[in-house]
Amino acid sequence: MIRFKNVTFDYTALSGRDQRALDNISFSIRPNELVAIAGSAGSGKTTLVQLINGLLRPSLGTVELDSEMLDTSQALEKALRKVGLVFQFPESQFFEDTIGKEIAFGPGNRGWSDAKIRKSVDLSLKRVGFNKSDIKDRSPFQLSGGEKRRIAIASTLAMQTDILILDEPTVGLDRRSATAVEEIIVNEHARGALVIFVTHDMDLIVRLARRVLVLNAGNLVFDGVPRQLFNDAQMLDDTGLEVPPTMQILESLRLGGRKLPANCFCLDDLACFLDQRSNEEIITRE
Amino acid sequence: MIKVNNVTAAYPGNVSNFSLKGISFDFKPGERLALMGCNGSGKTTLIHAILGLMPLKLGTITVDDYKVGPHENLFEVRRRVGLMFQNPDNQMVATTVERELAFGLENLAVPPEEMFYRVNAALDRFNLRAYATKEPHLLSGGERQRLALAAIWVMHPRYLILDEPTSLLDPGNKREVLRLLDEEMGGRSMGIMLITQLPDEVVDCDRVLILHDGKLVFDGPPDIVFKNRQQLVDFGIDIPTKMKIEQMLDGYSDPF
Ligand SMILES: Nc1ncnc2c1ncn2[C@@H]1O[C@H](COP(=O)(O)OP(=O)(O)OP(=O)(O)O)[C@@H](O)[C@H]1O
Ligand SMILES: Nc1ncnc2c1ncn2[C@@H]1O[C@H](COP(=O)(O)OP(=O)(O)O)[C@@H](O)[C@H]1O
Ligand SMILES: [Mg+2]
Ligand SMILES: [Mg+2]
Repeated sequence: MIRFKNVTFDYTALSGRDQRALDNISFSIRPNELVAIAGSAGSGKTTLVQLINGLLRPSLGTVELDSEMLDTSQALEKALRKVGLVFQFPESQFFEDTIGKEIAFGPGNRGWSDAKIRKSVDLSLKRVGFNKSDIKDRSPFQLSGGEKRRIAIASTLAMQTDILILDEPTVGLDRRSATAVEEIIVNEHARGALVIFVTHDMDLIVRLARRVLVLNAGNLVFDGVPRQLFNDAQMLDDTGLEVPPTMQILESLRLGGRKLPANCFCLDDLACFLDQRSNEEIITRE
Repeated sequence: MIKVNNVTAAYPGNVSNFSLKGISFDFKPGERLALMGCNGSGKTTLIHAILGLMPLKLGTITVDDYKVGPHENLFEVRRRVGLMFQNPDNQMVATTVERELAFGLENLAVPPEEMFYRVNAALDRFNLRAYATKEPHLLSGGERQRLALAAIWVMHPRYLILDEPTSLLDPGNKREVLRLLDEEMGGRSMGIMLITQLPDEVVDCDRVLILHDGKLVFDGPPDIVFKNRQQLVDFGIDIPTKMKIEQMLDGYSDPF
């Protein structure tokens, strides 16, 4: 359970300059919810998720994790254990000289047995699509951009936290790896974890999330079901967001005169619609 | 023209694995290329090679007839080819956004009035005016990406190589950046090479190049390359949403 009560965050204290990144935000997320966070560049998404694991502390207001305020060093310590956060820039979380050690670090900190750690490392690598174990001896710094991101995700997964937060996890991933990350999000949620992902991919939001929070210039301006967001043209316009690509293309086909439904948000919706139509046709023919 | 001829290369720390294997293609000013391929296929390595940042085992690269090498023609090559890095942090050097924009121009010895004019134009075009005196590393990821692009744009390169330039941008900013690139194409006959994982972004390119395991496996117009759907899936590449929808609607007729 995550609860934000009137949270404001200013970067003033750190940089000596005035920068309000979040302005009086309140919401709560129940255990085992699957929530997306969207908003234009600089709207405050990264700041918000870093407040959840205690990396940043609110300037005003309070953040609670499982009804405990994040304001004592013990509570912050606990938060770091409960919340697994995959950073927007994967390099910023690496510090070991081999991938094996990098991924084992978090589990090691939890005092797990060597056998359990090894198992968790191997499983996490598999889940991000690395099937050969020789990758473990390579340096996490000497990888391609997408490979780095997958290692960052694996090292967070390995800790099996109750809360999993991913800051733009599919950026730069090829189709196969992006699909693997989608499966991770779905499976972690099915395992019972609370999962939050930040993304600019509207298709991903409509397919995976049950709830989406939209930030705009530090304000929480939308909290609801993705389909409701994508039916709100004004809201999308105000926040720099768009409807998912499937909707855009169907819209342009409709403008070209084709009779296609307006409520297909993703390809699965379209496939459903086409199935239904062909069933109806069979029935009328019979 | 940039000519890449039979290029083979390996990283010093990974010599048993060639990251590029016998790659050849041409890239002309005014052309718009897309470079795609799964993670680790060699895209970043290839463009680093074009800038002389990666030693070649075999083959040659020339930029407007200047041979590219670790210590050869560096000035001539960098003056012509602007590279926006995959991680914007790898290209930030200055203490404010304004100075970041001026930095490259100082290196090219652009006169001060011209420099002032170009920096101001970039602040406006890339929507960075509000951050002019801010420190680059204090910007959000997407803001840094916009700055990185602006910092290359001000240098007026003949070839602009962009390593996933919109990956951290929201749809509105993404559309705006792609529109700006289109405008530039018309105005300055700049060559643009766009690296991306998003097939929807490349439908308007002249050619799509696809790398797989260090080899160039496709080079052709998007509507032809994307016809090879099954092979592309094996290379870890998706096809544009538009083509997927056209395929789904194939055989479907509208109700009357
Ligand atoms: N600094 C390095 N040292 C050793 N090997 C490297 C280094 N950087 C990349 N590699 C390896 O070289 C190969 C090609 O990497 P490259 O960065 O060119 O891939 P890419 O196509 O840009 O991938 P991505 O889509 O993930 O950015 C990969 O196998 C990668 O692991
Ligand atoms: N360390 C920092 N110091 C000062 N300002 C910052 C810092 N990090 C981010 N900001 C500013 O705070 C705002 C929100 O940033 P961020 O949460 O990173 O946005 P997002 O993740 O939505 O792109 C932006 O305007 C950004 O420039
Ligand atoms: Mg961010
Ligand atoms: Mg790359």
